[in-house]
Amino acid sequence: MISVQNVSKIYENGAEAIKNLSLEIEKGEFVFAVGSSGSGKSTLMKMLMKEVEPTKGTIVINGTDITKITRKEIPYLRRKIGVVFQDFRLLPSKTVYENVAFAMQVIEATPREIRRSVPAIIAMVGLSKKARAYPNQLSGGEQQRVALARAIINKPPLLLADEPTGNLDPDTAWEIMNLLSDINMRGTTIVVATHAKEIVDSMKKRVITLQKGVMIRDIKEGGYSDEV
Amino acid sequence: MKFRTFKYHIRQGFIGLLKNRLMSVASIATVAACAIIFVVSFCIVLNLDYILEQLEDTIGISVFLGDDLTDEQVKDIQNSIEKIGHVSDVVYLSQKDALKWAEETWQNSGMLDGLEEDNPFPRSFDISLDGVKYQKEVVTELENLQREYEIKIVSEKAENEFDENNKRDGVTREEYKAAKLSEIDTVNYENIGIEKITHAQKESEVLVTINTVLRVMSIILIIIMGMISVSIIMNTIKLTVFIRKNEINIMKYIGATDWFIRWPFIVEGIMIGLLGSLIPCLLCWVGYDNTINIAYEKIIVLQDLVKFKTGSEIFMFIMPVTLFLGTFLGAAGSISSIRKHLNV
Ligand SMILES: Nc1ncnc2c1ncn2[C@@H]1O[C@H](COP(=O)(O)OP(=O)(O)O)[C@@H](O)[C@H]1O
Ligand SMILES: [Mg+2]
Repeated sequence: MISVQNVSKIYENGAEAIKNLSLEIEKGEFVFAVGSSGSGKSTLMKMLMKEVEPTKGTIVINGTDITKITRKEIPYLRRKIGVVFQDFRLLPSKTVYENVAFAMQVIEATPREIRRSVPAIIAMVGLSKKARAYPNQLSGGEQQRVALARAIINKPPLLLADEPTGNLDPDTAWEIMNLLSDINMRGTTIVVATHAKEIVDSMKKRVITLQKGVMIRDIKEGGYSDEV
Repeated sequence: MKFRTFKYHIRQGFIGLLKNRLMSVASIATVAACAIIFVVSFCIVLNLDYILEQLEDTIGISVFLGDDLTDEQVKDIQNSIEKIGHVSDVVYLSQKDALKWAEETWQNSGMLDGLEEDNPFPRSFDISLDGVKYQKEVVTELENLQREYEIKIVSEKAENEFDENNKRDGVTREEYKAAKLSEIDTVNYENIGIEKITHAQKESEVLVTINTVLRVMSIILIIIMGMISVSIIMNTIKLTVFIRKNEINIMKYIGATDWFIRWPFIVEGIMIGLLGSLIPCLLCWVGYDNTINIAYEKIIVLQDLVKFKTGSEIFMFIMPVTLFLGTFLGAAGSISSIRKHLNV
């Protein structure tokens, strides 16, 4: 699914965010990327969604070397990758329903497809009753559910979540993580960058740990700070 | 592009326009101000051009004919004049016509009493041209024609005058003719062939200059107004793009193509350009018709002196031009102002 080979990222200001990282993620895996603030988690996620170019190395997703694709091809790559952020990034002027439907309009789905898929996804994230509400009428957890629904509405094989629970209280964070786990059960490969120590520890998923841009641990069914 | 996507873009463009209502109205108004200046100056330029054209018609060339030309020769000269390039019309004025014209001009002043018997006015041609700028060229041709006739008539005369006396003096017919012809430039032959060519040289030169200046000025004006409009539309779109930066960002993460993101802004820019040019065009049309009517009513002399272009004559031409420019500049302004925001 994802093959990262000898990737380094040095920003224009000289900050070395990722140092010679190599990583394989299989189809259907659920991977936590952990590490202290500034360890390079977001940089890794951004390189995977081609928002940031690696300075060195190759990244292959689904057989495509994304460091080699042209600008024109980026939208079609992104349609195969769902993304979720700490700050939700919903459109405040659109309702829950419209925010989710928007992701289908952008890829020119038919109105029929939209009418069929959107309510189902909204039901899946448990927001059927709030489909007509606007983002500012929702709690943080609910907003993140909408963002999740939007991220998976086009059935991407890969879902990237950068600190999806960073703005949420622990209980709500658990709900979102469980939802991610559900989505993973249905076959979507998921990479989650997070600080949520307790959740990572108890979910027993694969955990990779970054420290100052170096991957210092990669453990199947690991915890946040397992001793090796 | 799929039809539903097309509809989506149009809708989003309108939504953008309505959401930032104040700014949309402000930019439409500014573009409209440019369009008004553009349209009004065009009305002025087109009318001045039209009036110049009418004035040009009055600045013709007159050719006065010698008294001894026969009617056939006059006909012959008329044919020759009509063959000269850029001559649009040749009107023959007989001595009677000339007297009648003079009588009408100096009505009952007694100046012309008793002239019927001994009419002093020469026969003449009034020549109109395709444009005042050809005057010099045509006058040169007429002068050549004049000289041609002088030679022809002088040699005919010499032919007739040559007689026994000359023979006795030992002069041959050819020598006599050559001597007479050599005098053409020195002796003033009155009443021979084409007597005189008159034209308003100064006036025609002034008209040609005014015309050129007008053309250059209108081109400069179009460029300046176009540049102002583009910068206004660009600023508006830049602001809407800025306001909707998050939305653009989200669209990019979802996998929207650049064109999908661009289209609503282009629609918005086109609407600003289109409304900003359509509204002033219609207002100016109505205003123009009224102004012309009032001008004709208030200044009665105008009626026979000059004619203005009608509203439809001007606006059937200028409206499509303005609308096209508005639409084009609106689209171009949008495209260039969203370019750098698309690099997410
Ligand atoms: N756009 C950027 N320009 C320059 N330096 C950056 C940029 N983004 C991140 N960095 C630097 O790269 C390092 C890794 O940052 P980041 O990937 O955001 O880490 P994390 O998400 O783990 O907190 C940090 O030292 C940060 O200052
Ligand atoms: Mg981060």
